[in-house]
Amino acid sequence: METFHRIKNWIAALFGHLRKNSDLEDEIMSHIEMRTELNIEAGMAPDLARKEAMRGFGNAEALKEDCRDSWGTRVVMDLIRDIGYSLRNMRATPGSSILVVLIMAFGIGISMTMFTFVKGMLWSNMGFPDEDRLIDVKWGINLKADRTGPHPIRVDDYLEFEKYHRTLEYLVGFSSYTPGFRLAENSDYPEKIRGSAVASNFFNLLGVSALYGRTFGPEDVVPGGERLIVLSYEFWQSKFGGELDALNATVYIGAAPCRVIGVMPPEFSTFPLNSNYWRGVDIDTEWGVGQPRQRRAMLSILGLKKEGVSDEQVEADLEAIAERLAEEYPESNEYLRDVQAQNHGKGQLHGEERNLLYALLFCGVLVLLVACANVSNLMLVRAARRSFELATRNALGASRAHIMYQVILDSFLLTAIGGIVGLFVASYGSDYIWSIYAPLDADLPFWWDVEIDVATICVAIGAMIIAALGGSFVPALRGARRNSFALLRDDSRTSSSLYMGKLSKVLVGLQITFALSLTIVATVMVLVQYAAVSQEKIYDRDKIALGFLWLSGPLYKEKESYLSYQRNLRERMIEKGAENVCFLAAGSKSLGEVWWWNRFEKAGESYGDPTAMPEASVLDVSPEYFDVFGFKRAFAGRLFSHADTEGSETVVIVNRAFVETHFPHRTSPIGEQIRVQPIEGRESGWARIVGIVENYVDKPLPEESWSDYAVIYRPFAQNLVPWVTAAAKFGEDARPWTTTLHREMGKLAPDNAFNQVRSVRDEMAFEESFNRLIVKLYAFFGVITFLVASIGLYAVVSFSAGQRVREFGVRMALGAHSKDIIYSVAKTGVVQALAGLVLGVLVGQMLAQHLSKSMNLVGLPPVWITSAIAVILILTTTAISMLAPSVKAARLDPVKALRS
Amino acid sequence: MKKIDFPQGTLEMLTLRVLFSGANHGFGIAQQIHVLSKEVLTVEEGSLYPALHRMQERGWIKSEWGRTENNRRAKYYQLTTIGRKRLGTEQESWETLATAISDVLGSRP
Repeated sequence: METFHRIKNWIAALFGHLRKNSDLEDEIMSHIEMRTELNIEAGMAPDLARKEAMRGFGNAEALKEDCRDSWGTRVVMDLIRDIGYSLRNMRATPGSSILVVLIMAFGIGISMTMFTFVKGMLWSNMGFPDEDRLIDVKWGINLKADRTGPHPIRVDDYLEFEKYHRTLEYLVGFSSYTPGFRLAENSDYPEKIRGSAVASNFFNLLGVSALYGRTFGPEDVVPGGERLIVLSYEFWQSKFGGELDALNATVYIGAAPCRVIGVMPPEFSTFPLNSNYWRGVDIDTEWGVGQPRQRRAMLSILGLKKEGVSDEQVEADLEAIAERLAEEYPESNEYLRDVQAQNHGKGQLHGEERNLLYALLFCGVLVLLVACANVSNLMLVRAARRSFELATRNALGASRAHIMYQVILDSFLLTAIGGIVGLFVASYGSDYIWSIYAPLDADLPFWWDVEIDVATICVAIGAMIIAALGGSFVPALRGARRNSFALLRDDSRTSSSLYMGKLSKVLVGLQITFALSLTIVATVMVLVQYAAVSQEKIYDRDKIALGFLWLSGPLYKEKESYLSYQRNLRERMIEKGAENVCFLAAGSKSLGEVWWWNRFEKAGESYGDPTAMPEASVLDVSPEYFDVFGFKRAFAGRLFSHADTEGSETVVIVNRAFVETHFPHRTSPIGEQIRVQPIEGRESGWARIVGIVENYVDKPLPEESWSDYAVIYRPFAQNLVPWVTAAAKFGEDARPWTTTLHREMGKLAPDNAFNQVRSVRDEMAFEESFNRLIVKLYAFFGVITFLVASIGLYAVVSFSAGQRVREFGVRMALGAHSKDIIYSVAKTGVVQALAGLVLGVLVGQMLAQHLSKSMNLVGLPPVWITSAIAVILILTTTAISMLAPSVKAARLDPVKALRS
Repeated sequence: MKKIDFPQGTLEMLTLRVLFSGANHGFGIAQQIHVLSKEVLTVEEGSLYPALHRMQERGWIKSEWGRTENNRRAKYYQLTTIGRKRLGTEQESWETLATAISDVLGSRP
C-alpha cells in the first residue's frame, strides 16, 4: 500500500513539480506569518516580530531541499537536467551526433527488419484452440544431405494409422488437389479454385465452428451420401457476394454436385494451404478401394495429440503400426518404417529453410554489432573531445559514477533517437520485403504475420539498451578514469588527452571483421544466385507450359483410360498449335534444380543398411519428354518409346552425371541392372539401363558436383501414378497458351484435380521465390554493412585526425611534408585493421560454408574468389574512408594549426 | 523549563498523534506538541516540514489548503487510514520500549 502511494505521489510529483514548489513556498510563508502574528500578540513591534519569526525558522533553502528530497523527484529532475545538458552537447557536436544516430538507425532498422521477418515466419500463432498439439504426420525418408523432405502417406496406410493409433485424439487426412470448381453444371470449363477434400472429422480436430450454417462431422459424411462443402469467408464474399442464399446452394466440384452447408468466420482463414472451400470425404470408400495398394492416393495428414503426449511418443505409436504394415506388405512398405510427427506451424518450413532464416537473423545481429562497434568508437571520440570538460567536472568533485553516467546517457539518447528512426526503417523494410515475397508464394500460411508488434518493439528496446551500453560503457569508463590533474595542466590537446587509443583501433579491427564476414556471406549468396539464374538449360524455359493434374476415379483406376487421356490431350494440344506434349510423373519441382531424390541399388552389390545405398534423382517420363525438354538424342543407347509399357521389360535411362558418379570406371553402363528403392510405396523391380542422355544443364559440370545432377529416368507407362504434369512445348512464348492447356485438361478430365498451369519460367520463379528473396536480402545486407562500416571508419579516422591538428602543425613547422602527414593519418590502426581482415576472411568463410551446407547450395564459388572480392571491396571502402581525412590533415596551414 | 532534544524517530509519531485529534497546519502541530509536552518539547521547523512531506509521500497523511481562525491561508494535514494504523503500531512499540526502559531503570541494584 505504501509503495502504491509512493508511486502515485512520485508520478503526481513528476507532473506537478512546479506546483509543489510554489505550494512549499506558500506553506513556509504561512508559517512565518503565523509566528509573526504570535510574536506581535506577545508585544513585539511588527518589524521585529517578522525578523524574529524568520530567524526562528532557520535556513529555509535547506528545508526546501530536504522537502524536495522526500518527494522522490530528485532523480527525475536530475535526469531532466542531464538530458538537457546532453541535448546541448549534441547540438555542439552535430557531426558525430548525426553519425551515431544514422549508424544506430541502420543497425536497429536492419536487425529489426530481419527479426520481424523471421519472427513472422517462425513464431506466429495460428489462432486455433489447441495449436500446440496440432501435428503433421509424414513418412521420414532420411536421405543423405537432406535432399528430400518428408513424404506424404498413402490412403491405405492412413486408414491403418487412423484405426489403430493410441496417442492421438484425431487423425485427419486431406488432399488439396481438388478438381475444378463450377457454380453451375453447364459452365464452360471449371475454374481453377483451390479447395481441400478433408476427412469428416476435420472441423472437430480444429475445434472451430461456422459463422453461418454449420460444418460437417463424421455423421454427415457417409458412403454414397450427399456431398457437403463449407466455404471460406473470403470465397463466400467474392463468389456469392456475401449473400446467405449461398447456404444450401448446389455447386460442382469436378462433375459432382455438392451442397454448401456453411460459411466459416473470417478469422478462420484459408487453412490448410489456402483452401477456399472444404469438402467432406469418406476417405475409406471414396479413395481407399478398387485399386492396388501401391497406386492409391497420397494424403496430407493432420493429427491432434492427446494432452501431455510428445511428438516422439506419436512417432513411436505410429511406427509400431508401420512395422506391422512393412511385414504384411513388403512390396509396398518395406522401406516405410520411419514416421515423422511435427508441429504443424513449425513444419511449414524445412530444416534448411529454417536454418536460412536463423542465419539471416544472425547476419542482422552482425549488422547491429558493426553498428555497435562504430558507435563505441564514435563515443570514444566524443569522450575524447569532452576530456577537458570531464576532467574539470572531476576536479570540481563530480564522482566517477556521475561522469560515466553522463557519457552513457549521451549514448542512450543518441541510440534512442537512432532506434526510433530504425523502427520506422524496420516497419517499412519488413512491409517492403513482404510485399515482394507474399505474392510469389501461393501456399503462404495465413498465420504468418510480418508486422512490427509489441514483441518487436520490446526486442528493439532491448537491442537499443545493449547497443547504447555496448557503445558507451568502455568510453565512459575511460572518460571517468582520466587523470584530471594532468589533463587540465596539459590544456587538453597533448599526450594525456584521449587519442585514438588501442581500444579504438581494436574496435576498428572488430568492425572490419564483422563487415568482412558479412560481405563474404553476401558475395557467396549473390554468386550462387547468379550462377543459378544464369545456368543455361538445354531447353527454353519460356516455351514450355506446365499443367499439374491429380487423377482419380475411373480415369486413373483403368490403365487404358489413363493412357488414352494422355494421348487425347497430346493430340488436342498439337491440333491447337503445340509442337509436342509430354507427361511427367512429378510435381513441379522436378523441373527446377531440386529433383525427387531416391536411393537405388546396383545389381551385384550388397548394402548392409539402406542408408548406405547410392542416391540419385528419379523422374518418370513419357517418351516425348526428351524432345520437349531439349534432349536431342541419346548419348548412348536409346530413348524411351511407346513400346516401353507395364508388360515389357523394365528399363531406365540415366544421364551423363549419373554415369560419371555411379559408374566412373565403366566405358558404358548400358545393360547394367539397377533397382530404385520404392520409398513412394510403388512396385519397383530391377531395371536395365538402356540409354544415356546428356545433362539437363548446358555447361560442363565440375567433378565435385556431378552427384548433384545425377538422374534416373523411368518410362511413365511402367510406373503409373495419380499425379502427373503435362508439359507442352510451343514455338513461341508459352504464357498465352497456358489458358488453352488449362481448358483442354479440364474438358478431358472435368472430375479431376488440377490447379497449376503456367510456363516453366514462371513455375521456377515460383519455386525459387523463397531462395531468391533470401539471396536479395543477403545482397542488401552486404550493401548496408558497407555503408555503415565506411561511415564509421571515416568518422573515426576523421575525428582522430582532428584531435591531432596541433601535432600536425608542429610537424609541418618542423619540415614534415604533406605525404608524411597522409601516411601518419592513414597508418592509424593499420595493424588492427589487417588483423580484422584476416579474422574476417576466416569467420566469413566459416559462415559461408556452414550456410551452404545447411541450405544445400550447389555451385559454390571457390573460397579465394569470394575472399578476394570481399577483401578488395572492404579495402577500397577503408581506403576511401581514410583518404579524405588524411588529405584534409595534409592541407592544414601549420600556423593556423599551431594557433588552434 | 529546560528544553530537551527529541528522541530519534519520535517526531513522526508525535505528529501523527497530534493529527489524530484533528486536521492541523504545520505551525499548529508544532505548537500543539510544545503545549502538550508542557513546553518540554520544541519542534524545529527544519525537521517538522520535511517529516510532514515524507509522511505525505508515504500516504500516512494528506493535505489541503484551508483558512485559519484569523482567516489566514494555511495547509492543513490530516490522518489517513494508513496513518491511523501506523500511529497504532508506533504507539504500541513506543509503550513497550518505554516500559522496558523504566523497568530497567527502576530495578533495584
